[in-house]
Amino acid sequence: MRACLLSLLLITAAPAFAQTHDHVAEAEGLRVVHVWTPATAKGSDALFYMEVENTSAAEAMLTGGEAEGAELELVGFSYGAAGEAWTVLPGLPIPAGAEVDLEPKVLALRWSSVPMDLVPGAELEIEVEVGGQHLHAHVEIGAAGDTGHSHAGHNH
Amino acid sequence: MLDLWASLPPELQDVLFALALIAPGLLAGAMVLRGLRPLPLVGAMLRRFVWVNALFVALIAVSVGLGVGLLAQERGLRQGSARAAEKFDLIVAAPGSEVTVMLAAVYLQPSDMALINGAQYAEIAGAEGVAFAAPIAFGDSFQGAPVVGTTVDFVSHLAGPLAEGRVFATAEEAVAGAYAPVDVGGSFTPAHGHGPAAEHDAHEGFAYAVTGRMAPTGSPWDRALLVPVEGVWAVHGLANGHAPGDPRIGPPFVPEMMPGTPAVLVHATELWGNYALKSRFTRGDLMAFFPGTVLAQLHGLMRDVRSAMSLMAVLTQVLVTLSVLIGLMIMVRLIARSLALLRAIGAPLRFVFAVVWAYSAALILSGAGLGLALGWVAARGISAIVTARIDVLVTANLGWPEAHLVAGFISLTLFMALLPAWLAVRRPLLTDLRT
Amino acid sequence: MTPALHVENLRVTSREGRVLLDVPLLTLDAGQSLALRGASGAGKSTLLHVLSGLVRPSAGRVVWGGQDIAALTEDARARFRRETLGLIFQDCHLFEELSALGNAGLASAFAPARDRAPIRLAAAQWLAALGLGQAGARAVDSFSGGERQRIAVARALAGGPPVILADEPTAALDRANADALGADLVRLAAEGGRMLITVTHDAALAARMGRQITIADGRIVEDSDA
Repeated sequence: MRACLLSLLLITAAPAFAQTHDHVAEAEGLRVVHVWTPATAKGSDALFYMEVENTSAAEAMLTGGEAEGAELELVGFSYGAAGEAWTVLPGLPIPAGAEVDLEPKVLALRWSSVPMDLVPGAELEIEVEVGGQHLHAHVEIGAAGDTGHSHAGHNH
Repeated sequence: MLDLWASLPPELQDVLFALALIAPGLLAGAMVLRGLRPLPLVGAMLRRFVWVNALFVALIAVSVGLGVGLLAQERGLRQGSARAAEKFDLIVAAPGSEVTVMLAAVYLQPSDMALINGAQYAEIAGAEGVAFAAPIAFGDSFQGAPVVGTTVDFVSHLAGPLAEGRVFATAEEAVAGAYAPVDVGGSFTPAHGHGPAAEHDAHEGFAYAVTGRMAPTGSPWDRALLVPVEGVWAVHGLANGHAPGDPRIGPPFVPEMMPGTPAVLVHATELWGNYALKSRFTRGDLMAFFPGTVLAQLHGLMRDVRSAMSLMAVLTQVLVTLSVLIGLMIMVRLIARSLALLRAIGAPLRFVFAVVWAYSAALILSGAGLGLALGWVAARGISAIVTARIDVLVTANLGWPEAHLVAGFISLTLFMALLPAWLAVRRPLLTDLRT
Repeated sequence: MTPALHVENLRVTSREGRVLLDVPLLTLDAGQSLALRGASGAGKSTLLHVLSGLVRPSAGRVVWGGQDIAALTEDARARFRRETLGLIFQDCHLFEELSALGNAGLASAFAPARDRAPIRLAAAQWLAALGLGQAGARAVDSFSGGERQRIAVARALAGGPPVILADEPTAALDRANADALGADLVRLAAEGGRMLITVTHDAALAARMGRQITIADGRIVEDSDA
């Protein structure tokens, strides 16, 4: 029982000491880097993009996240005659040693009907659920038309 | 308020937006015509100058038709090109330009491209979650139709059950696209390359027998001839992907015996699988991408052009209507005597105002209605031409954007029509009566 | 009730200040008929236009049944014409694409809703009374000059006006048609107890009127009642 509690404490405490850099959230060999979203008006859906790295020895499942108490869904993009669509995915396995890019018109975490305007420069933190971990990540809010993170390409 | 708007279904939003656009014009009309009955008189005036009025209506109709047709056409082209790419879930190719690979693999506009080798193909085909990985080997043609080497899986995935015949079973058989230039039972010898520079005798002595025909897909593949990829390798004098003497076609291939393929279509077993596979094969020696994403990005880039086009369409229509209204002001001189008579025998100024406004409104509404019809016909006509030229099925239908354009145009011009009406009632009564 | 006419100190001047009309006093009782005669440019049509409210005088009063129309707004004068006057012009001023009945009942297009049907009914009755009862549905461009002027007369009478003002109603007609129309006009006015004022060069028509006034240089120079 004591061991269980200790494990739980370690797991929940992990994100607290995982924040090594403003653009990086890291725990147990899982890293979330360069989380960003374009500016979004209140009531619209916000899409969060990021790089998720699995440097652990086991496959990790990316399932979604949380922002301001609301659920973030993992969504995949498709495009056809009916136009653009984002479909909710049950999860995305990230093999050991692999990296997944959540990028515009491919993959994203979606926050439906945001309760406030997300404006460039504003502070926002989200949790990314990957491999059973809740990684707290700082979100950079870019301009409405942005297509990438301001530090994209940097090696943190 | 915004929340309420956002919560409405898109169709209802479109209806409400169209109503909001047309409401000011109709409201102005209702106020002008309230309690009056000018239409029989307006009808008589319209008949009197029928050719001049027909010219005005034609001018408005052409400008509305152009705007409507252009918008519908642009959307039709966008939807057609997106529909053509729908079956292409994930493409894996050697690193390079995604656009170039997409044009080659999806729209059959081939370019010189590096090849994926046998080992890479084997890794892709064997990856977890891959339902099938079909080589797409292009480069040959027959009478202008692309000859593409692939697998049975790809044929079924692209067009479903065949419309006629059976799928290829040997390296010397082929399946024709719905509109390909060879019938079932016929045969053809591919030329090496495409267009005028194609070498027609390069594969002399080799012929494919067509065993089946695909159902239409609305894509350039409808004109293509699909052959086993082994056949493509064989006619180029290469190993056929299998052990010597092995007559099988289709995967698995022996990596060492596989000459390579410019692109591979990957279809995953699960919905999320494509995204995982994209991540997996986006690496230094391979490039994985969704054609839908590339196309959406290209179409996104064109959004500004589309907005500019819409603005120009509205501007053209307003300019034409402005010139029609100037024409109407001149025309008011032609009907000035009739208007003066009405005033002389006691018609209120509001009635005379209503007659002139209703006259203009009749021209505007007829022109807009005829313009919608013209736009539809033009869009259909241009679609047929574009479809024939690029082999992408373009079906341009009138939709809500066109309805909004015309509603806005009608509203604005019905307001503009107040001007000649106002000028008409300011004319000198007695002078007009004596003319 | 047919209003009486009382014109007082009436002056109409041109923009350049030239006096076009100078009538110190003119009265006419309800139901009377009057011919305005004179040379071309003498001012008789101007007087008719002032009496109908189509021209606002530079000075003076034009009182119909106690109401000075010179003081009214344009819309009020239009209403006065609609309710009180029936106007007939030298050139009939018909809407060519409307039928005879459509022209005769033209006022129904802008009359209050309650008056529309009665006007159309009256228009049909007046056409019949003027010998065009069978031709109501025909387009007016198929009628002769005399018939067209009869349609114009029916139009003037359809609203049931107590006063008819006519400007050279027979000038464009041949003798026979002019005589027939003149006789009808006078008869119909008299039957309804209507006041009839007509500008005319036609001595025969003028002779049918109860009173004749001659105008020269904008002034009344001869009055048969004087």
